[in-house]
Amino acid sequence: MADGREAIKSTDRVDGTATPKVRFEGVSKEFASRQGAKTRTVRALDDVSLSIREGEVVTLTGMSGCGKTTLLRVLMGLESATSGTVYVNGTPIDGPGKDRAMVFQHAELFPWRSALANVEFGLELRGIRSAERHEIAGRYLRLVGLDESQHLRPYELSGGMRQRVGMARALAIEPDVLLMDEPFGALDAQTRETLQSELLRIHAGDNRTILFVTHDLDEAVLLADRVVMMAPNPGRIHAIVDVDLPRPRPDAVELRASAEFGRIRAHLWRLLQEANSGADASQGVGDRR
Amino acid sequence: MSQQSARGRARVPSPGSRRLVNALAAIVVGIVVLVLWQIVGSRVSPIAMSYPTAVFKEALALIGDGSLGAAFLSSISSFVPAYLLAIVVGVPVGLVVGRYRLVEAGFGPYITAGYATPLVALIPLFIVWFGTGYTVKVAVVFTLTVFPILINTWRGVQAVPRTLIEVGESFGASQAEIMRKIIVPGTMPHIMTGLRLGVGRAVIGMVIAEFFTAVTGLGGIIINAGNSFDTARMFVPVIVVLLFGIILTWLVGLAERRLAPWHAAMSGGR
Ligand SMILES: Nc1ncnc2c1ncn2[C@@H]1O[C@H](COP(=O)(O)OP(=O)(O)O)[C@@H](O)[C@H]1O
Ligand SMILES: [Mg+2]
Repeated sequence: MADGREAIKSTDRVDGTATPKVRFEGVSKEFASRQGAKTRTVRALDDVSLSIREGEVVTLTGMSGCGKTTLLRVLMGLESATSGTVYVNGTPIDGPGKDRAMVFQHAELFPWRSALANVEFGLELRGIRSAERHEIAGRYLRLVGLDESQHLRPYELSGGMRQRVGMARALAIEPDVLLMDEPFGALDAQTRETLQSELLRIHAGDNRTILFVTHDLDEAVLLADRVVMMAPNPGRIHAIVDVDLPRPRPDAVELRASAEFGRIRAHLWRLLQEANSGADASQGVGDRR
Repeated sequence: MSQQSARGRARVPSPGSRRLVNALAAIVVGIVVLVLWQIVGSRVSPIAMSYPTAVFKEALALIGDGSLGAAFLSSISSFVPAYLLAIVVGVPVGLVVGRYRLVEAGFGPYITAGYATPLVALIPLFIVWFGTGYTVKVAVVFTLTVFPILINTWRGVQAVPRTLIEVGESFGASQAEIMRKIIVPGTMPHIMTGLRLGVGRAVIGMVIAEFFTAVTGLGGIIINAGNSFDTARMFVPVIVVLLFGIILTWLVGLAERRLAPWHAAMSGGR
C-alpha cells in the first residue's frame, strides 16, 4: 500500500514545448460575503496554478465548498479572478469566449426552446444561417443520442435527457475546452453511468480538452487523465493524481473492476480525508502543493 | 386493496368530459340566476331592478336602431388604441426597469406609487389637460392599463433565473442578445399576466371615462339611461361591457397558451 503513493506521482508539467490548452497561474478569488452587519471575505481560491494539455481530461474533486465551481466559473469568464491569470491557448482570458463552453450542473436549458433550438443557441449567436444551424444541432443531438426527441421542450425531457441536451449545446459550438460542473451529480446511478460512458465515447472521438468537476471519486477516476484534489478554507489544490488507465475506455464496468482503478480510488479517498482534516491546521501532508 | 380503490376513485376524467361538465355547471348556474332575476325583478318597481325579458326587449330595440352598435364602435375606438399603446409602452419600460438596477432605483418607486394611486381621482386633471373629447378617453384607459402591464413585466424580468442569463453570457451573448433571446421569452408568461389584468382595468377605464368626460359610447348609454330611470335599457350596455371583458380576457389567455406554452405545462396549470 505504501508504494501506491510513489507510483501515483503528482505532475503538473506540460510535455515538450507545446503551449498548454489551459493554464491557471496563481489564481485567487475572494468573495465578500455579508454576515449580518459585517462583511467577511471568503477566499474561495488561493493561489491555484494548473496546466491542462490539449485533449486531456482533468477532473476536479474535493469536498463541497472547496472552490471547484468557482475555478470553473473563473475559467469560463463568468467570474474574474481577484489575482492571477488564466490563459487559454496561451492568451489571457477576458470574460467568456467562444473557445470555451460550459455544461451546467442542472442543465439550465431554456424552457421556451425545443431540444433542437436549445442546441442551436450558441450557433445563433455566431450568426450561422438557420438551415446550417439545424443541421449542426441535429448532428450533435444525434451524437448524444437524442435525435428522436429534438422537438420536445425541456419539461418533457427526463433529467438525463436534459443533461444530454446541455452537452450537445456546449459541444455544438466546438469549443477548445469543455467545462462541466457536476453535470451528472443529480442523476440516478444508472443514468449517470450511461452518460459517463457516452462522455468517454465522445471524448475518444474528438479528443477535446475537458475540465470536469465531480464530488464522485469513481467518476473522477473513470473519466480523468489527471484528478485534481482540492482542499477547502481557503480553496486550493491539495494534490494531483495521474490516472494511467488506458484509453479509449469503452468498458467502464471492466475498468471499475480493475485493480489499478481500485488503487487510484483508494489513494484519492485518503487524499480527500487528508485535504479536509488538514484544512483547519493548514498543515500540508504528502504531496500537497 | 383499499389503496387500489382509492386510486380508482381519484382517477381523473378525460379533459374533454371535464370541460363539458364545467361548462354545464356554469350554464345551470346562469339559468338559475336569470330565472330568479326574472321572478324577483318583475315583482318590484322596474326602476329598482328590471328583469331579463325587459332587458332583452330593450336590447332588440337598441340593436334595431343601430345605437348599440354605434356606441360599441365609439367605445372601442378609444379602448383599442389605448390598450395597444399601454402594451407598446408598458412592456419595453418594464423590461428596462427590470433589467437595469439604476433605472429601477430611479423609476421603481414612482411606478409602484402610480399603480397604487386611485387614478380615477385624476380624471378632472386629465380633462384640464386633454379636454373632454377622444384624447382624454384614450389617456384615461392608457393610464389605468399601463401600470399592471409595466409592473408585471418588471417583476417577470426579475423572475428570470440568473443561471439562464449566465448561460447566455457563457455563450458570449451581448446585452441586446440576452434581452432578446433570454429576458423577453423568459418574461413572456408575466407579460401575458399583465395583459390579462390590463383588460379589466382598461374596461373600467373606458366606461368611467365615458361617464365623466363627453358622454359617449356604452358608458354614455348607461349613464343616460340611468339618469332617465330606464333601468332595463341601462342593463344592455352593462352586459355588452361584461361580455367584451370576458371575451378579451379569454383571447389573452389563448395568446398566452400560444406564446408561453411551457409555462402552463411547468406550473402544472390548466
Ligand atoms: N457568489 C459568491 N458569493 C460569496 N461566496 C461565494 C460565492 N460563490 C462561492 N462562494 C464561496 O466560495 C467557496 C467555494 O464555493 P464553490 O466554488 O461553489 O465550491 P464547490 O463548487 O467546490 O462546492 C464557498 O465557501 C462558497 O460559499
Ligand atoms: Mg460546486
